[in-house]
Amino acid sequence: MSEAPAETTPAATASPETALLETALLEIRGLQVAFGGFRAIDGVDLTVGRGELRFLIGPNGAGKTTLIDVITGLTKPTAGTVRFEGLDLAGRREHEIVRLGVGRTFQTSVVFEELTVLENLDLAASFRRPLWSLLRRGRGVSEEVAAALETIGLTSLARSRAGVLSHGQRQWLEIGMLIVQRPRLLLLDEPVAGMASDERERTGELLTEIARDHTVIVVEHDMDFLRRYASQVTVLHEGKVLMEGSVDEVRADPHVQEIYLGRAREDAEDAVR
Amino acid sequence: MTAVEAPVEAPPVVRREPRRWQGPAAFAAVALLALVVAPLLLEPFRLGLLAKYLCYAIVALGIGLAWGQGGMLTLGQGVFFGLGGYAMGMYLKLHDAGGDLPDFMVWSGVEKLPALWTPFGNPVFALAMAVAVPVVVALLLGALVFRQRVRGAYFAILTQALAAALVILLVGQQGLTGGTNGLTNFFDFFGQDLAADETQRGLYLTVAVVLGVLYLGARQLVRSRFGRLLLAVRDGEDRVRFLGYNPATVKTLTFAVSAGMAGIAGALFVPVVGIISPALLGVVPSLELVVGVAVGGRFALAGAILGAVVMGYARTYFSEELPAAWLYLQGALFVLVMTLAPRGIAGLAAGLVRRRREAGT
Amino acid sequence: MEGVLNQLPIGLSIGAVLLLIALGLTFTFGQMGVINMAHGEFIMAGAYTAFLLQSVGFLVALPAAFVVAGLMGLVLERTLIRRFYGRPLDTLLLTWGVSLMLQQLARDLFGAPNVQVVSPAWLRGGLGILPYNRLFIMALAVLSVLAIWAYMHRTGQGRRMRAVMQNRRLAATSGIDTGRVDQRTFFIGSGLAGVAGVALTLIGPVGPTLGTYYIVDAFLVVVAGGLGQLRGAVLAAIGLGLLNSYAEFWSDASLAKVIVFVAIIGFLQIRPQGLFFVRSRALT
Repeated sequence: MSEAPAETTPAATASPETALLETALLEIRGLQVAFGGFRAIDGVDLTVGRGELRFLIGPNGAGKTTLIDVITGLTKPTAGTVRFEGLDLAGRREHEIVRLGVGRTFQTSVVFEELTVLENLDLAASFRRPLWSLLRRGRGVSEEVAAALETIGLTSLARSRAGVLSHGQRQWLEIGMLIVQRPRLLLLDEPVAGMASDERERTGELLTEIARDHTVIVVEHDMDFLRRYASQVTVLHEGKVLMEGSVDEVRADPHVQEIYLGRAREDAEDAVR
Repeated sequence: MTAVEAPVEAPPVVRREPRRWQGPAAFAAVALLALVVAPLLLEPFRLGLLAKYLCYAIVALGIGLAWGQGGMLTLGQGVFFGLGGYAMGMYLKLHDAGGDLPDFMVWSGVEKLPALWTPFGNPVFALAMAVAVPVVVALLLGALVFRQRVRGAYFAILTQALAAALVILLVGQQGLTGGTNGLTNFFDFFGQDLAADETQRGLYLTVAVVLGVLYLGARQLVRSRFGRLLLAVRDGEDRVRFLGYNPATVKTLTFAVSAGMAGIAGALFVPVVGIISPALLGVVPSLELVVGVAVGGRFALAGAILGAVVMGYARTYFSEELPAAWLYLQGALFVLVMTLAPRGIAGLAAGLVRRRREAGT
Repeated sequence: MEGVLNQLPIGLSIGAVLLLIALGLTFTFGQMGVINMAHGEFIMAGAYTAFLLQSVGFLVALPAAFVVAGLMGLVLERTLIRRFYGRPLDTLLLTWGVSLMLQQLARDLFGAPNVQVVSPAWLRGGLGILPYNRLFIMALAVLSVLAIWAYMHRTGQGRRMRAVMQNRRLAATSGIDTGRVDQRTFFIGSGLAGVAGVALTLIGPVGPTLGTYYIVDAFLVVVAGGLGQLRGAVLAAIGLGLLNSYAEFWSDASLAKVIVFVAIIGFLQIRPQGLFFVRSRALT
């Protein structure tokens, strides 16, 4: 919890002290993923330093979710390496990667509807306990879980079944379940998709709060959300990294504008030719 | 989600009833009924039948745990029941033979006691094996199958295939297992005459107490963090992985617990009923046990027990009174339960209670 | 050596029967998420059809059994199974109830003891180690698979069937009447089980529990072959048929099923989703 503030550039993260330990938290080199003949990811290099808040954007089919799937072990890469804290993640199974300290959320949030909000969080928080110790009732609320409830704003709903939560509340519960696991890297897959504007606002605040003491990668579509909460952005396009930079740089880039504003200009150019 | 993508059951909607004094009170009442009233009122023959049903109830409890709580439909509990039963049966046979060869071996021309049998002369070893062998088999099968994410219907089919294979093996190994007849003709149970009413009453009480203890244990398991984890695995195995748990471990352990229960039930069944044979543990008996659990209500442990007892009584009654109709009835009952009350008697009862409560307030 | 060769036609013909049975199972499971335990009783119904028609002629029995079993499947689908799509475990238990009733019905209609269907004269004898009856069963399976393949890949109905199998929702929104497709699949799948029943009369007696002997192995074919995969089912059925007959030959009959079971578990360690499967990105 004592790490440097997150709103720093990669250059600043590479202070002599951290550089000694490790140059980067996450290091992806030459990554390729093919589904049949289709290359979802085609030679991606990506480095994320400790304490960073990195946004991953790109149009549909750019390979954003696939990239997260590879990092978390859900999808096996066809080529390339993913290193987390210097450890090669190849061949590790999903739960082992989580135990190394990589947590994620899903686009369509999955919480356990039969369990209460509190039980969902408690289950997430207990994953490092030995299995036999789970046989105890575990009725109390740990400080950590209480704090997470507070952070995600669901304290008043703690004893409700998760099945009754709204879409937004589910996303927050998922984020809460991530926080109590104290991961070293959080991967959020489109956390504001399908949310109403006040829910987006609340999620943005939550994100800022979490990024203060976590390394976070956010996959996001929404340019407006990006403008308000992002600092460092990586743009993916057709399975490749198109560019990396600050929000302003990315927004100013003609290429990015092109892929985001659609093919209108391209068509116009074709017409001129 | 289409059927093609998800051959996994949709999570059923179960609401938790608030915990109150009613639970323990009901348990105490049932215990009183089972331990005091039933032995006083029932004639020995009926008490023996009840003891048999309670043995099935122990298996059903395990099925309720694995299927209702863990989503693992096991169609092979007869295998574990049988392994437990044969372990006990082997001891009883050797004990009765008193140093000679068991009778059936003599009939099938075996001249020397097979090495597999020798240690079962020791009652402690036999009892330990009655639990250990089912548990180890379940651990092995579970580890191999769940690790590869074989689940749902596939798992059900594999357990069924195991039951089918075991029956053929037992029937075929006449000299070792007694073949189709199985192991029977037991006389002495730890110095007690098995035919005596007193012995049978003692056995009934033992079965009832074991069932009660296992029920409390299972209830504790379900209400613990492990139980919640199990429920989470049932409803979202893949999501559980991303919480850092290995669902395969959770499932394998639960499956092993349910197998252990079936093994205990089998070991108790043998002195109570006086026989263990392939016909008692194949595909059909295994499925019948699952039917009982479904009828009673798979999502409640008490429902599973109730279902086993109700089905046991129904079977005895109808095969005494209307033997030809029993298979139709059993089939029809099952179709009705699955279509009209998929949560069984326990589900119906819970619904009634809820409706009355809502009407009252 | 001759013994080893003799097992070959036995294994292949058992594989052929398993294939005929498994095709219906794998399609109904793959397309509708339904596990039909009563499928075994459709085999039995086909066999009894052959028994009833043995004076009329064996070749008449084949289409008749197809229609009888197919109609039984259709009725079952319309009345009960339809409500349980996508709930394989519930259908498994539900249809087992149906299976019990059908078995008892067969006992009441035809008696509990087995009956023997007299094989037609032209199927007695054989070519060296290849008995005609087993050759006929293999040919029957080959023809059926070819017909199914042609149906799936060369007809509009078959194309719709594959569409529903791959993505039911998308197929429905593309204007395909999925209900009709399901009915056809059920009819064809059940009908094939009836044909398998006729084939079985060539190699053994017919009884009310005939189906129970084959249903478990047929399900194993589905597990090993991969869901809804024609070529997977073909390979797995042949493999399982051969494994069964050779395991019986080299060990003894009582161990064969255990060996097969262990082999399947071993196979799943290498191919947990069966021989063939469609790679999907969806979670769960």
